[in-house]
Order: sequence, then C-alpha cells, then structure tokens
Amino acid sequence: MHIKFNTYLLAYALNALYRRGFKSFFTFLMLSFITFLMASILIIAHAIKYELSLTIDALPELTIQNLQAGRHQNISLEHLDTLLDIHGVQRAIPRVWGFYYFDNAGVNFSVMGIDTFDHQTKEHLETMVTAFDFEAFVATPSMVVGKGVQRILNENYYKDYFNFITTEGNFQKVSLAGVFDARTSLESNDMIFMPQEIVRNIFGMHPQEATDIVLRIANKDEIATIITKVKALYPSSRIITKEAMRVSYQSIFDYKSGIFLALFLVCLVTFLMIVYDRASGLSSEEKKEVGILKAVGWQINDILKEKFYEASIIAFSAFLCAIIAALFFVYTLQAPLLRDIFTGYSVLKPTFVLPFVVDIQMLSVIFFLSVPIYMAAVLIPSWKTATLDADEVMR
Amino acid sequence: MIHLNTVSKIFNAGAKNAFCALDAVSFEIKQGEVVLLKGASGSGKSTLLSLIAGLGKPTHGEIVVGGKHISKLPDHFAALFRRSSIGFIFQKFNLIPTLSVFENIIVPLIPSNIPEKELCSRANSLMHRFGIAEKRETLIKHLSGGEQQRVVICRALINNPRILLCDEPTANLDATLSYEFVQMMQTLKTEGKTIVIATHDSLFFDLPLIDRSIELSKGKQI
Repeated sequence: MHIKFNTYLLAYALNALYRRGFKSFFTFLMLSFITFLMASILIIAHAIKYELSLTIDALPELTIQNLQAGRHQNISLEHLDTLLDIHGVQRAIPRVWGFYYFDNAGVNFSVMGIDTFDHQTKEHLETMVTAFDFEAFVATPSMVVGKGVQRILNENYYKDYFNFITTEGNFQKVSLAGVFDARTSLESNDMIFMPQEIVRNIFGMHPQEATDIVLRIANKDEIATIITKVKALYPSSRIITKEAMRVSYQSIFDYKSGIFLALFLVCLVTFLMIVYDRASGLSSEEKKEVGILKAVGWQINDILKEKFYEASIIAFSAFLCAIIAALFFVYTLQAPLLRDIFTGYSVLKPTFVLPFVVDIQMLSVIFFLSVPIYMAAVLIPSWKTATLDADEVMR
Repeated sequence: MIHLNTVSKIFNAGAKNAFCALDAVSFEIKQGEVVLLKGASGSGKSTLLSLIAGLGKPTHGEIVVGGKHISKLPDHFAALFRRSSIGFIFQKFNLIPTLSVFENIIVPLIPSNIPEKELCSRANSLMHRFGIAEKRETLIKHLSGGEQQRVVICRALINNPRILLCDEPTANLDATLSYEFVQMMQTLKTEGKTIVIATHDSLFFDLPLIDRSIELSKGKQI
C-alpha cells in the first residue's frame, strides 16, 4: 500500500500554530518549563545516585574503630597482628585521617595519610601512590589535593603551599605537589593526601596509633563470623560494615530524594492541570474551525492528522528544548538552587561537580510523562469535536 | 439529482426542549435546475440545506443525492461526498478569518493532496474569474462583505462540484453586490450546475434565473 505524505496538512498545522501565535508560544513555554523542571530534578537525582553508588563501591568491607565512652578514639597499631590472625582476614590496613577545618573559607577538608609501603584501601589511592612520590613528600612536606581543595586554596591565595595549624598551635607548611581527580568528585573533591607522618603531626596523633583499621575479607560470607571474633577480642570496638555505610548513605539520599520527589510531583500535577484544561475542550474558535473544515469536506482522520502535527510540533520541540536546557542547567550551571536541596550539607565541604550521566531510561520516563500526555490532551478533544455533525459544531 | 422523501429534523429529540425544524418535507430537484427555497426566518431553509449537504442527519426520512443515500452515509463517506459533489455558500460565510484569501480557497483541496501546480492553477483561475486575484494574500478579516462573499464562492467551486447550495447568500450584501451575486449564479447555471438558493430576499423571487420555488413555513412545505 502506498501512503503519500500530505505536506499541505503539515503546512496547515504550522500555519495554525503561527496564527494562534501567542497561545502556541505560551503552551510551548509552559510545556518546556515543566518538562525542564521534571528533567532537571531527575537528572540531578540520577547524577548524585551515580556518584553515590561509585562512592559506596569503593568503601572497605569492614572498618574497625576504637570507642571510649561511646566516642571515637584513635586505635593502637598493636591490634594489627591480632586482627591478621583471624581466619578469613586477608589484610588489615591502618588508616590515618581526619577533618581539618579551614576557618577562612569555612569548609572542612578531609585529610588522608598515605603509607606507600602498605596496601591502599581504595583503588584511586593505589593510582595516586603510583603517580606521586609520597616517600619524597616526607622529607619536603608535600600534598596532593582534590580539585575542590585546590580551588578553595587558590581563592585564599595559597597557590603553592598551605600552612596547617597543628593541635599544638604550630604551623606545618605543606607544599602543593599535585591535583588528583578520582572517578567521582565525592571521592576526591574535598580530599588532601599526604604522608601519614605529616598527618599525625598536624592532628597530634601518636606514631603507634591510627584513626581506624580497615579489614580486607577474602570471602564475603565470612564477614559475620569475623565481626563476632573482632567483637570478642575488642568489646569496645565499633565495626562498620560496607552494608551499614551503604544504608546510611542511602538513607541520606532517600531523605533528599524525598524532597525532590515532592518537587517532581508538584511539577507533574501542574502539568496534568494544564493537560486537563487542554483536554476539557477546544476553544470556540478552534471548534468553529473544525466545523468549517468538516463542512468543506475534511474527514475526521484529516482533522486528527492536522491536530497530531500541531501537537507533535509543540510537544517534541518543547521536549527537546527542555532536555537541552536541563542538561545545560545541571551540568554547565551546576543546578543553582535545586542542587542545594540535595547537597545541603556541603557547607562543611568544598562543593563538588555533578558527574555527567545521561540515562536513556530516564530520558524515556521524561518523554513518556510529557509528550504523549500532551498529545492525547490535544487529540482527544479534537476527536470529540470532529466526530460531531459539522452543522452542530458550527452552531 | 436531489430527492427528499418525507424528511424531518427534530433537534434535541426526546428532551423537553425538543424542536421540530423540518416536518415531512418531500421534493425532487433535477440536474441543472436552479431552485429557490423560500420562507421566513426559522422556517427550516438552512436546516434543509445542511441535510442535503450531509452536514447533519435527518431524524426521519430519506435524502438521495446523485444516487447516494446521504441520510445513511457514515461520517467518513459524507465528508468525501461533500468534497466531491457539494459547494456550500454559508450565510455567515464561515471563512477562517486568520487565513489569507488564497489559503481559504484551497482549504477543501488540502486533504486531496493534489500537485501544487494544479492546486495553484485552480485557485488562481477562480480568483481571476471572481475578481479577487489582487487580494490573494490579504487576510479575510481585512476584506469587505462583498469580497468575502466572492471568496466563499471560490472556495465552494474549487472542487468543481455538481451542486451548489447557497444559504441566504445576499444577507450581508448591499443591492449592487447582491445583483453581482445573481450574475455569478447565472454564469454557473449556464455551466450546468444544480443550484439551490435558500433566501427570504425578494430580489430572487421573480428572477429568470430561478427555475422553480419551494416554500417552507415553520418546517413544513407549503
């Protein structure tokens, strides 16, 4: 069967949109704006979720902390051998880290000590130890920083070095040896890496102490048994599992995404109200035009085709504009206002850059929530009018 | 050509405000005839023309036009019938005010998807014939009543229909323009068109153009 595309109908549809210029433009604008809001919300949520999943993947299976009176204290390195003796523990890696509050900028830096002779707890730390000579950093105190830290230091005129204030009130000058960029901004953005000796000096830690100890477990099924054994050995210890961390991160994310869900629902309801208004009927002018078209010999399917073209032009162009605007808003402008809802705690941390993630499934959700609904809202009342007698419609 | 058999039309049938616009009207019009439908306002003339054009369906009775049972045609075929056989001149013109003269005239041809050359040729020829070629790109809302009347005639003739139905064609025209309209109808009659003019304008009553008259009063044929 040969179907010839009727270009006159398309031209008529374009003309009709042009004739109803203000109404068409207003509809396009509203549809674009609401789709843009929905898309922005979903894109931000998706980007943060992606960032979160990568961060969680990089977490160690077990982290052992020393508690005293319910508060976190440094842990003695003497425990290392005992922990390694537990069957199933592959490695026990002490970590030296802490938060350094930079008063001038009002932000917290995460300071992580590196021991080049030990195994690293995360993949990106291994990469960094290979890329930089941390042994040399001991003799001439130096550090590698995340992009966010570098930006804040630059803003505060620290181009090549930074003066840390130790717990004893002395200055510890540390040179800036390089900038590190991990897979995700959350992992590296607020981080400062330097030899463990310097970190201990800044935080006033004993050389035979660490902040916590990370355990590598060969067989994940043995985690529960190992936790029991560690607890038996060190009753005052707190053992944090990767799963517990995941739940903790997830609950923060879920709380934040709940707010986003509320925003998303507001957008959706607004959109549906517009759709309802559109679906409740054509204007008297539009109805009369449908009547005239029927009277001069247009069939119902001709009218519906024309309306389909009209709705498609508006819906697809609005969808495309909204998606482009949302991508620009989220990734170029870094979603001002909206992002703060998700990253409200970032006043304590340097800001991070949302990772660029475009998910076809997410775009499909936005598409199906906007384009077909709007088109149905145009076509259903048009069909209702077109199926009436032309005589009745023109009256 | 046009055959009506006891045609009735009741609006809001079954409701309290039911109104009988036509009551058992029967007549026949032969091909090439020019028939005048006379009657006061509200006598059912416009309703009758709408039914002949297939714009509505009679409540009772049968309408056959060119061998086709219009009263029984599904909407899809009724539209095709109007497109191919009927030219309708409405009392209130029923033009699309935001379209130009040319665009209004070609509206009935759009679904046919005919080649652009032929489409323009037909429209230009009619615009020249009825003296509105120079207004081709003017919007309808900027035209005078007489000019709009000519656009309606061009639109009605663009598909070269066999039947022309005119509903109060001179209601919005002055005496000179009404006379012009009569001249146009005279020309179309010589081309063999079947023309039905529904009017209460006395101008038409004794014209040689009219072959015969049918009078309606309160929906009934007198």
